[in-house]
Amino acid sequence: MRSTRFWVALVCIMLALSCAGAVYVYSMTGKGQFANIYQDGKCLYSIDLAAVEESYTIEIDGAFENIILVEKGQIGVSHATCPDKVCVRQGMISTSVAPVVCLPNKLTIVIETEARSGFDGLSH
Amino acid sequence: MLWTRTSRIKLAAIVLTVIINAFLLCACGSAKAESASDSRFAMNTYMTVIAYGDGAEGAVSAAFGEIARLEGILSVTDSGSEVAKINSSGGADAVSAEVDELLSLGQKLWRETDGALDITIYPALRLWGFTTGEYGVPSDEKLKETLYLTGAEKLRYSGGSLALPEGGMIDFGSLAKGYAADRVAALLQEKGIAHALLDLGGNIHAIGGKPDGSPWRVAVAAPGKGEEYLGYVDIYSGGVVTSGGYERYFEQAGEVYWHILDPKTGYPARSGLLSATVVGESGAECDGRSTALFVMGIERAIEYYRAVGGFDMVLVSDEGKVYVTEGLESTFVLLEDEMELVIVRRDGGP
Repeated sequence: MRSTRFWVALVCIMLALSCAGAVYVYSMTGKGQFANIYQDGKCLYSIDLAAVEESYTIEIDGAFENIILVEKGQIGVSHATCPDKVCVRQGMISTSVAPVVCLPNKLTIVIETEARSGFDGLSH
Repeated sequence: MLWTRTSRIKLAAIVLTVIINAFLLCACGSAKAESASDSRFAMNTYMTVIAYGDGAEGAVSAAFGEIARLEGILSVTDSGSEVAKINSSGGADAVSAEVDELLSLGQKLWRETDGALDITIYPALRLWGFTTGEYGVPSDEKLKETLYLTGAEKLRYSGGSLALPEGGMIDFGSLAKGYAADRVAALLQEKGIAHALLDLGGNIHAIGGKPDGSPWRVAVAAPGKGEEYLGYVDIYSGGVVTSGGYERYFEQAGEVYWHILDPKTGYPARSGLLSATVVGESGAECDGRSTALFVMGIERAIEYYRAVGGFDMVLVSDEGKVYVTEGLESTFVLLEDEMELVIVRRDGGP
């Protein structure tokens, strides 16, 4: 009987671990909102937008200057010294559908985790 | 040998655990074919290629190789490119297959659209500073002088030999991204990739629907409204290309000047449209047509659609109306509640 209890316990532990693992894997997809800020392909910052309590700004130097505004759930370029300002006009993003791009400063802000917007691409 | 009750329970428990574990593991990775995605700066924009299937990683890498190769031929600013050499020497005795295809398409669309798409507009774009970032409104006089250099009718192209008017230039900026999408789509398919989505600077091009068999859902930007979308369209293959004045523009003395010029006047096209989206099989044609439709305005665009066909469009007017052609009636969904949806029929009916 002792041996049976051991096996039952082992099986229960294995099942519990498997279930916990599966729940963890599922919870990682679609939740959390990591915004990665790249310059010329190099990741400068990785920010969990869901965890942002108070808004703040980040300054990015390069050929031009971008001021990035980080808010709870969204991120964007609030000010730029580049001539075309396309990055500023893109506004704040909260999903992974289209990144914010500043071509002159080789800057991209990409929301990496699926924010479940339901769209695969953005024609613009 | 007889099984004891305990061993039967043990065995059943182990088998059950293995089955449940296998199920949980499979569920985690369900419907996940091999996939690869990469994003890079190329062709003066930012591009993303996503591919699904065996060899996806190599295929995505090859896609960017092809884009770089095309850029090396078509760039108007890289002095070593074929197009730059044609512009600096006033023509060429022989052109590459790529330049030939784009010259032919440019001339075809120029004729079809009554000059609304013009691959010789570059000198005027330069005068406005759209190619350098040194924006400014040119004088009427200077603009008129520049328009003597533009006009696709002035190109002499036959038997592979091209001659430009003196001071004239060609530029495939209105076709190149769409053309690159076509070439990359063909390359990916050659490599056995059945499902892929290309985002070449906002030009979307789909191959084969999603791996689960459903269509790609492509949002269309609401002009000037950031992450708000005008609507969306579901497609399995082909391009969704939008042109508008809401992204690339500058302001001077309170006036907005955008980068899409009316080839007839040399001034930014003010046709009453905020954006024009074209949906069709050929990325290059979608690209060229979206620019042309933006220049043409609603009435001319609808006339053009009815005369030529072979594509669908979504036109956003500055009066709050969205014109959608009948081919998209069942797949386009308008998300902007305050806009009025008008379905355009090929035969002119309601």
